[in-house]
Amino acid sequence: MNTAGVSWRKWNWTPWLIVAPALAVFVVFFAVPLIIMLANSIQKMDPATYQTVDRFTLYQYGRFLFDEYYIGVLLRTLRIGALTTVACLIAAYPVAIYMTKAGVRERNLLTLIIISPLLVSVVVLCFGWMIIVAPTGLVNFVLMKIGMIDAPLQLKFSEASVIAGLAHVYFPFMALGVYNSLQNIDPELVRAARILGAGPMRIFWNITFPLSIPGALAGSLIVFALSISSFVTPMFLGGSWVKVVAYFIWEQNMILIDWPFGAAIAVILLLVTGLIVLLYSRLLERHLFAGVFSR
Amino acid sequence: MLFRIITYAVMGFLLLPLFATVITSFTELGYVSFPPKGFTLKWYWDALHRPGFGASLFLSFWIAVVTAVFATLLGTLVAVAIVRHRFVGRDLLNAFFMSPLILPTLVIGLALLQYYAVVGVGTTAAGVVVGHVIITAPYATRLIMASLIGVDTKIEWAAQTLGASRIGAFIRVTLPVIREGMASGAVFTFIMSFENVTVSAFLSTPRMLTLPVRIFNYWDKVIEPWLIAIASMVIIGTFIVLAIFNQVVSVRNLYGAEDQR
Repeated sequence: MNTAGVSWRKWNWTPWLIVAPALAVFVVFFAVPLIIMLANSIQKMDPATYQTVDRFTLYQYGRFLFDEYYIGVLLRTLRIGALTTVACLIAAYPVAIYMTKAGVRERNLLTLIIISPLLVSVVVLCFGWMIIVAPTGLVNFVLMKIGMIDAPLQLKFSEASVIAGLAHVYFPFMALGVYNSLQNIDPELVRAARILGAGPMRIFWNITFPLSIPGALAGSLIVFALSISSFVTPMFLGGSWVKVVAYFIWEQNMILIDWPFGAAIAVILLLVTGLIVLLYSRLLERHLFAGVFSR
Repeated sequence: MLFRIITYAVMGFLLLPLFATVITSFTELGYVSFPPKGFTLKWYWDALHRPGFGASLFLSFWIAVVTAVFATLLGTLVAVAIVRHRFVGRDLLNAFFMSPLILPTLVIGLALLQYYAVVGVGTTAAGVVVGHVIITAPYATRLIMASLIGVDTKIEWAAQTLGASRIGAFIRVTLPVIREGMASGAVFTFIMSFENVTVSAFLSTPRMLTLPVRIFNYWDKVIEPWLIAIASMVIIGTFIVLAIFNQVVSVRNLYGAEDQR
């Protein structure tokens, strides 16, 4: 009989039998396709005949990395990702703090509203934002009504609109990340600090904030990684004016049918994401250890 | 008090695009503007008669149903293996099954597109389902893991001591307990599949478009009120589904997924 937890020594077949179907699906339709994409990215294709002319070349990577235009696009993408992350972070803290103090019913309602962008299709959310930022839209209507502007502002197709749209879509990951780490703080710690005479500001800066950093970092990582790889929101709200890396992945694969180049851009995006994950996990580790050693 | 005001301001920000869409869909004007003028349902009538949208809705629905079934089944297997067993390679296996969460979803769509071409099967509805299962199964796994962690393995042993087989004990003792986790996994993966555009955009053809991809194809065109009416129907439909399933699936369970981090 399998008694969970003690069978470390000998090779245990039971769990492998259980996951076998899932493992098969993930290897065949997830791992192998990624490897094929990688193989495609190091090929060169004749654009006229769609024939592969070179099987091992870094030509596609050079096309992207040695082109000032594409580097500009990459930098813009990273900037949009960073600003989206900061916007989410600033909005998430007050919400998460308030949620820890709210009652069960109110917290459930807030949670439902927070996760709503995950449940409604992103194309639908984009329509909502287009109504808000259009020349005849909500923002221009309000600004003209209160007399701040005379003619409508061109908000649509701007980086600001793209950032607002992305912050909306990915806010749930940040808010719930910060909320979870706040919720895990031992209330005794806060009580002890209060007994020892610390004020609310001091409690926040010395206890709540440092202990919430892991959640905030995890949230930031996800929001940043998702923002730099999204193309739907930038296409609707940025149009041809705010093109991002993911737009070119879509265009090369779906419109121009230059698959090797499309694959190479995707690999570059993956490498950038991977680099940031690595950087973050380093940061996260240091924070966790700092917490351990200072105690 | 200050935090309360900020919190509700942020909630307003999150709900504003949804409200703006629903309100604008009733406009009598022939173009999208805010505030809308008058009240009419003609754009809904118009939207229902647009060719292709009915077929897309039908396709999206069935893709979401099949995705939910497979993602939940695979998620249950992975959750049981990882929560219930200690074995060499467990952490690695867990990381492998969770990796679609951190990988850009468009990369998964693109990789599958090129893979299907290399294998020679082309793009099919089944191909879209496979893509959706890969990106949604990790969510189902996490939800089921959360409900499985709370189950005491001793009750299963007790059932076995009383003569049940191992599989019998699992089906009759553990399964009923994790039913709620599986139900929330199924609802969540259904919704995620139904609303997905990032993977579907790569795997669709002009003859086979899911509803979100059909809407997405208007990205470079002028948005007319009938499209807003379709968006509005999607919003209302999503909240009706949530309201129905709120009895089965508590809201807490949906973000229980995040508790596992």
